[in-house]
Amino acid sequence: MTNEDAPQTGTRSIGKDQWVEQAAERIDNRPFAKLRRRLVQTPVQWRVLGIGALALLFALVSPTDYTTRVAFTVALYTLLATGLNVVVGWSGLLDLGYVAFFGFGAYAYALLSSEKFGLHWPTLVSVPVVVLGTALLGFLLGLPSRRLSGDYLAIVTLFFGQIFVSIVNNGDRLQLSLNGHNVPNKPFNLTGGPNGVTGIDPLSLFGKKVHTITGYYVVTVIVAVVVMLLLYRLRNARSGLALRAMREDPLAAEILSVPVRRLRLVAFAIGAGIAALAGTLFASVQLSVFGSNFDLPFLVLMYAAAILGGLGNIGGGFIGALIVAVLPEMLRTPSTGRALVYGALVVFVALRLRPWGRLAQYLIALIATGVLVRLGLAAFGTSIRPRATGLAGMTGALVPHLTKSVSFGNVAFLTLIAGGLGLTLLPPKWRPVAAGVVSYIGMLAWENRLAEQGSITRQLLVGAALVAIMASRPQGFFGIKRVEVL
Amino acid sequence: MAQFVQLVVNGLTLGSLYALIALGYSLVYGVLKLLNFAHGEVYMIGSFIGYGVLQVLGGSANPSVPVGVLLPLLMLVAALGAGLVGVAIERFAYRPLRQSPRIAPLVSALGTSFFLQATMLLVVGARIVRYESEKLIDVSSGVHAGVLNISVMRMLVIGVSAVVMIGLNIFMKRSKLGKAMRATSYDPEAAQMMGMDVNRVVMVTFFIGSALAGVAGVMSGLVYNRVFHTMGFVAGLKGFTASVVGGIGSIQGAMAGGLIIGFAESFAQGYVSTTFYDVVVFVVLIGFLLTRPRGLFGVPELKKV
Repeated sequence: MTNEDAPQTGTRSIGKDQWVEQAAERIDNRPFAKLRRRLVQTPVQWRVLGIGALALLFALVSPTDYTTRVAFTVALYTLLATGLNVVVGWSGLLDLGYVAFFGFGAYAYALLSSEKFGLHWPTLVSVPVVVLGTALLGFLLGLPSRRLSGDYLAIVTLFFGQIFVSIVNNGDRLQLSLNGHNVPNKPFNLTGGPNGVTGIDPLSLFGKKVHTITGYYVVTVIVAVVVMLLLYRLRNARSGLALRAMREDPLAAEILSVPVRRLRLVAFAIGAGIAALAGTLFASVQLSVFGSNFDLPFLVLMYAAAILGGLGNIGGGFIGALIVAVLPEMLRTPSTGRALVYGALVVFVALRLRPWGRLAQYLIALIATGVLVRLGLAAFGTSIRPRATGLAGMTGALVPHLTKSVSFGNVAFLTLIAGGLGLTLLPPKWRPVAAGVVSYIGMLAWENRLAEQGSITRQLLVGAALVAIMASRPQGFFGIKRVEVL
Repeated sequence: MAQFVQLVVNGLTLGSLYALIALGYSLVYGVLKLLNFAHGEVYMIGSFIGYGVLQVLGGSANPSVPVGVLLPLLMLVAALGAGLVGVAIERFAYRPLRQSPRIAPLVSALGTSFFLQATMLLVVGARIVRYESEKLIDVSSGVHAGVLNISVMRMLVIGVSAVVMIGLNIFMKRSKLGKAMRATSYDPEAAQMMGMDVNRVVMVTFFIGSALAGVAGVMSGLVYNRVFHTMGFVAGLKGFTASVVGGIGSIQGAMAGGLIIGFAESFAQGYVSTTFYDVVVFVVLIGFLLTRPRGLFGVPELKKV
């Protein structure tokens, strides 16, 4: 008898959903499945503590002050991305003024504990005051959210961030002219304008001043770990559950008597407080603050960190911060940047262009473009830089580096954008060939222009990464995919 | 009195530009219910395209074509270029996200905006470029009657904006495509079922909105003479504010909102503070959102559960 109810495979058992079983099987077959399961099964607190302990160990083995400084940046970004996660990831509020809270915290600390007004409040007083004050500010900015939906709120907060930068940059000559009368008579200098506030006190904890970058690193790691543990408790408390319910569906949550409006304000205030805490650390380690520290690029960077790590994931902030803090350092010098770019290209080719036929098409297209470009350059009599040694020499053999490279590199870059976008529209059959052409153009752009402009390249990469991640994995690298029921 | 009249003229000029930018936000929001954050960058790129064309045609000192041909040409090319950039943004940054949660396109727009800024920074550099329009048209020419002083450039801005807006209004009301845009805005699914190509309508919407921003970019370059890679951010914010004040999604609203923001900024500059006028605009925005969240011409949105 061919019974359809009979199990077709030995693994299927009664009372289990087929889809769930298949998914579980898929998960078991992934590489490092055992290790991953171990990791997932470890309680979050232990994971956070473990990473924190490893981070503290790094302070001991860090070879130079430079590496410690990068590690400090990672820790600071982790703190910031974690705070952003509360607002955006848990509560679903798009807060584009987040960096302004960071800046507000930094400036408030700077004004309370520096040479500026001669106020030298002790750290243990000024930091809590600043954090609470900024949280209150976040609460106030959240007030419009009582009446606004997501998009409007986003723009109000973005505008707020812009206003903050504008006030800070012009805050050295505060004066109102009302009907020709100036109030006050002499412009009042609050923020130092473009010159910022300098001479900020270092942190002093338990009677000791923190002077070294290692000290700041340790303090920041401890603060980040404590904040994450507290947030973890909040996440599983009633308020945390309510926050997430609000993100999923504010209307349904409200019907279930979740105080949606109040919760939004609370989420804003928590995010602002954490950002302010990071701001005080930032101000005290820099010993100076400037308005340009808190502009749009930094906001985009923090969003990239929070999203790369996965929104809604407590540990995600750390992974995102690691990526956005370490990558730019590698782009700082052309040689490491070159290694990174060509390494990424090779990995991409190895992963995406299988089987061999496609790889062959890709390589042929790549080499053909190279030959054509060389012929074209020779026809115009363009002068090419002599080849260097090492990796630069190897790539130099492949891609010409012109002596007058700026406009050539710009054209190559614009072609790269057009080509890269066009590539996604092609039918899959043609993609390997087109990818070959596009990667050669990319290398041309890289060698002739991008490699020398590390900071701009970083911005380009961050911007493109945000778009690409949203299109392919909106939940970020380590986020959990949300199933939307419509 | 003279100052007041001057501020009104300034407000009109600024307001016309903001209205053109606001139209882009409103059109896109009307059709897709999406905030195109990258719209300000399109305006910036339009301004740079105009500058590039001006340089190709010999610069402002000795242009190879007469001024009467040159200015429309600048605007046309910039409109076309900006329109294409807008279409590309829609195709690659927004279309893949049409079904995703609302936060995704906003973040994608943030990334796009950042990417475009960095691209212009790479290609043009961080310096401020100048149209040097005073060499094209004498600054002193224009209407000077009593307290009224208005230069030809400003008249051009106000006039072109008015013509463009009237044209857009007629286009939306009379043409088949305008009708399709209104239908899609009303109910995209129903429009699709009636056999409209929604993707094409969206593309046209983005093209028109971005082209208007491109024209605004060229005109701002002509009047204010300063073009730089971050100019789009603030202009975009103001344009958005204008569309919110007028009621987002409404064309008349965008025009009215643009003028309100233009006047607010101009009077704030004249009577309150020359450095903190942005704050005044911000306060106007917050005030409107708190008292009339749907703006002047907006219709309250009913939510069916």
